[in-house]
Amino acid sequence: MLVLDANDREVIEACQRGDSDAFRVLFEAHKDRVYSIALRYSGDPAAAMDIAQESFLKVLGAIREFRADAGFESWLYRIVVNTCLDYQRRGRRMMPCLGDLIEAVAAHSETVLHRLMRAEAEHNIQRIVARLPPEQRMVVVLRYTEGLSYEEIARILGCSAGTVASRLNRAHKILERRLSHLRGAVGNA
Amino acid sequence: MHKEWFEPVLAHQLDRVAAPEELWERVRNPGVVGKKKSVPMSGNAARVGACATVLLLATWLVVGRSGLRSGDPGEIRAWVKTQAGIDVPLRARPAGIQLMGANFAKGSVEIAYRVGGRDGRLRVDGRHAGSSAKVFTWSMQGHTYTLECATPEDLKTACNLCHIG
Repeated sequence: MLVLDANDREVIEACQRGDSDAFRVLFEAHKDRVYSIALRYSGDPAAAMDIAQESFLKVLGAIREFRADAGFESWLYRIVVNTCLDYQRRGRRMMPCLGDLIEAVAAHSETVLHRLMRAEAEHNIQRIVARLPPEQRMVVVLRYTEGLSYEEIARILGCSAGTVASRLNRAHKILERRLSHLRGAVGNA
Repeated sequence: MHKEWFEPVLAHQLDRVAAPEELWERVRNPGVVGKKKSVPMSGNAARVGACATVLLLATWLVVGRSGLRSGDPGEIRAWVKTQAGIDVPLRARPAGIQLMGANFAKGSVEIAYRVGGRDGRLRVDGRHAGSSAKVFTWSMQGHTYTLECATPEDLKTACNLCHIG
């Protein structure tokens, strides 16, 4: 899964030669993946844009150092993961607040309370995930947003598959408790 | 492998989403901050919006107009190069220095860092002093230092004036 095909290699080599069109191709191929990880990790679209932007700038700045025999996707994942963790370490906002409040207050047809309650329900799972400890949250995002195996996650995070399993297990325990109100609804779906 | 009852919920709710179109613009022009879509406002909403705008404007004025927050030398270098056309040869792991980010305004770049918990700034002015010279100026202990080089590459060598290779 994390292997380059011939076209990817050509695009990356063109990027390494400074071809801006090739970088656009690379961006288009991976933008959804990068943005989704950032969004699912941060729980905030504005933060996700910052993280995705930073990630691609890092890719642009470091693409010449990328070795063709290494896995590009794994390399890209590591950049995104580190950017997410750096972003949080720098104390940036990781959960929606002011933006949601403004949108809620701006609603015409609903009361502020109804609007906030509906937004709360829609974002419930995202918010619960966003409150997990960073290491567990990243494993959850790579597992459920990207569908990666324990081994692939372990390679990206630089830890063992056992550590991945342990973090996921701890995250599951927290999520099971916090999502318990959905159990009946899921069973009926 | 045993599957928890909530795993399909997670997979659905955390599924991949499409990146906003403006992302490319932000990558292409890193100094540009994306605009949020406008929402029809009335009454209190307009007041809250106005307060938020004033707050954001004040933050923008205080924190910096065109800035990057990053501790990554490679990212800062790429950003500075894109913004100012100056290739500042930051080391990959500058010992004892924590990079904080960069700002660019009026032709000058300012790279923020911390040493021993104290703030520091490296200011780089891209204006040419001579026909093809690059001039780099900074202040330290009450003095203003200026490095003048024919090319950005010469900076690496020029740094040896005070620093070990």
